[in-house]
Amino acid sequence: MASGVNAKGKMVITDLDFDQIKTNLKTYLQSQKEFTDYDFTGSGLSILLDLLAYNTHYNAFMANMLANEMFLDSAVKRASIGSHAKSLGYTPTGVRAPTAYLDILVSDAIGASITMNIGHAFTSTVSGNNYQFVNTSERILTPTAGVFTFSNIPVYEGTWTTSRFTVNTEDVDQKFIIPNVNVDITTLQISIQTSTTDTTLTTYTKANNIVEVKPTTTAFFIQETLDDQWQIYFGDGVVGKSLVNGNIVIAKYVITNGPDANAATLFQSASNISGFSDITVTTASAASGGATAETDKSIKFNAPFSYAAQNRAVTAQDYRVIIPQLYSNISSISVWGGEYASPPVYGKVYISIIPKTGSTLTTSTKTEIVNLLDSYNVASITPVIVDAETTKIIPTITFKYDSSSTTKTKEDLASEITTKITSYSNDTLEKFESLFRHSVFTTMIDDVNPAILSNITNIKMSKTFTPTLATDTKYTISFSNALYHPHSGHMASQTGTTPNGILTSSGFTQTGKTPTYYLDDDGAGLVWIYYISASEKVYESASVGTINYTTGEVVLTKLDIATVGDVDSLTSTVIRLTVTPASDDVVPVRNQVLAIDTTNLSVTGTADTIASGVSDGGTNYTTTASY
Amino acid sequence: MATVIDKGFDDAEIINESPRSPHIFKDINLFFTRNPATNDITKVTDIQDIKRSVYNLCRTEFGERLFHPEIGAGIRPLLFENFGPMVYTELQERIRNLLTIYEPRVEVENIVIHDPGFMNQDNNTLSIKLFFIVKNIPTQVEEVDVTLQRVR
Repeated sequence: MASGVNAKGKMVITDLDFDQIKTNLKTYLQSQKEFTDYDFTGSGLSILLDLLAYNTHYNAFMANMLANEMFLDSAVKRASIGSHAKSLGYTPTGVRAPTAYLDILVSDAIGASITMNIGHAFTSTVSGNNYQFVNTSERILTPTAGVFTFSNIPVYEGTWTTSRFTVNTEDVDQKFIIPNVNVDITTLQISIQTSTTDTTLTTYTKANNIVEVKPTTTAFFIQETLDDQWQIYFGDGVVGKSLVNGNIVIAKYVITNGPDANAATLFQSASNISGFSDITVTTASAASGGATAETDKSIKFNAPFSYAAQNRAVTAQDYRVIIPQLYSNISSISVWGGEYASPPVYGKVYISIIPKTGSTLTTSTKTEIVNLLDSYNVASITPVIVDAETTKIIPTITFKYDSSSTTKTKEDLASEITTKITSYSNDTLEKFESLFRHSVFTTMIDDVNPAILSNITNIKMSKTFTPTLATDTKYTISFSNALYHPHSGHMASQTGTTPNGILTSSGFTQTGKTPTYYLDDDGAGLVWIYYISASEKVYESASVGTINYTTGEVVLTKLDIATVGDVDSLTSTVIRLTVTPASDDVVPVRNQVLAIDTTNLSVTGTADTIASGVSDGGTNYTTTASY
Repeated sequence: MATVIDKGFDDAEIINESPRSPHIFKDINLFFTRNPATNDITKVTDIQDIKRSVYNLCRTEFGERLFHPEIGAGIRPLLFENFGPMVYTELQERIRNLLTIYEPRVEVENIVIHDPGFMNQDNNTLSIKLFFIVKNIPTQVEEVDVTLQRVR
């Protein structure tokens, strides 16, 4: 069958590519004898075919692109995606300014009150670049016991800017578009001045839900324009109060640099406050939350869910969609109902967030998110934000390689593997619901270099806890994965300094006792404490806790810890427990996050004697134990 | 054996229209003239057809053909070069390479700059004469004139 003709001998008309279209036309011309030169580049017919194919290609591309842009799933242009999202009632999150909370002491202030003006600037430096943070509302302070301190004031990175638009109702095309793409719309303040002569100001608030907007409600709406800018629009007198001719729309907002100034910690006031200059700025909470505009991929993902959630947080998935709209500094989010917590806590919904910048959310941010969720929550359900817990996976890798097919040493190959594993941990793990799949991991190691023939990878899991020093305390450490327990009493009687069972720990001391103690288990569900004396373990007379091999939970019933020993030869404030999991696949649940412990990662290579053709390769081949 | 007819066209001396010929080249006439008998568009055939093709290729500049910017002789820019042996050789090479790749029906015999009195050099005009043979008529040397000159 000739190319360009389908099974029924008809011309193929679905091709988009110029050359393919031209080939189809040529195939068609093969069936006639009037013109024969279509195959010669210089022929007149070839030139005409070029034009025909170009025209077809042009129209086909246009039709294809139009069809693509008509659906949210296949749209490519930001404007199309934004428009589809709008029809689903979803407003993409724009650029967000980093927000810091400051305590500002004005030592030389006197009088009944002082005022920090709107737009008052503070300066800070991040990575050698200067940034300005601004106050976004007028704050009047009366002294407490003669001390003038503005407490916990939020300041936003960027420039405080004002735009004015005069309403002209005769202009049917009039739009109020904020002339900058880097506007943090959460800082947007809209007020309407009655006219140029009547300077009365009315404040308008952003409408989040049309149900709440009445004909007299002074509300404004916002949407993204085709140019990634923000358009403000107002009610029509039925849904929201309408504007009249001559009104002046005053929009005030912060134009920000996005995430660049996240983590700014030291601030200075850029000018006097009410004429007083002795100003001390203390950082209550470092800058965080700055983010770039929502990506196209994110909009495609979130808009349908937002429509399904209908502005109500009922299911866990609803929270996953609504929270990123309220707070954009989110790298990964996990939500679960209290009934699935361990132990179950009814009436609560747990939320865990890994921020894009910083390792955990600050207390004030958590409170802010919980407050913002108020209008979405089902009554009687309380959201609780918890930090992510990291469980580390410690792989011990022994690989075989063909020394005759590479010039690299085994150390070079080991280094390549370590680099690959580090990026695997960063890119694939370290977020919620990211499983450690053993076969994927070992395949990845095999694929690092063609010379690597096979690998045996054994894994352990570790978790840390911060002890309360010098107090009898109960500790519960949950690995949330079953632990290796082939039979009762597994590895129960190890001699020398080798710990019994599958549990090991970093060292610590107990109050009133000198030696460095460690923990292990007896293979029968009890956790014991011991110290090393003369190269032998010396156990205390009673066990200190339990280990549940099925649930992966270690409970230290009562432990009075005095000091914490080094972890990985570094001074530490935490104690690390290491266990062997029952399955080589490790599953993170709830707020658990997996990461590879690259510090304790062990990668060892040996040349494969069979593959490299060593004479006794077939008789003295050695392998590594999988257990 | 194919009959050879001389129809006296301006740009072709020999036309092979024998029904016994294994293959007759037929192309659309890009002058889009009307055949007075059939009222259809006229065709160009055989030697005339090949000459038109050679002419078209030589007049094609790089980037001119849609989606195939690699097709072209690139001789128009040479019009504004200082004319000398280097440009002459370059010109010959470009045309020869072009025809070798894109016009398999011909074999180039010679390419000369047709300027006997060296009168055109200062007028930004190049008059190129191509001598080639059509591969299935090896005894007949054909000739195409390509003249490039500035338009303003």
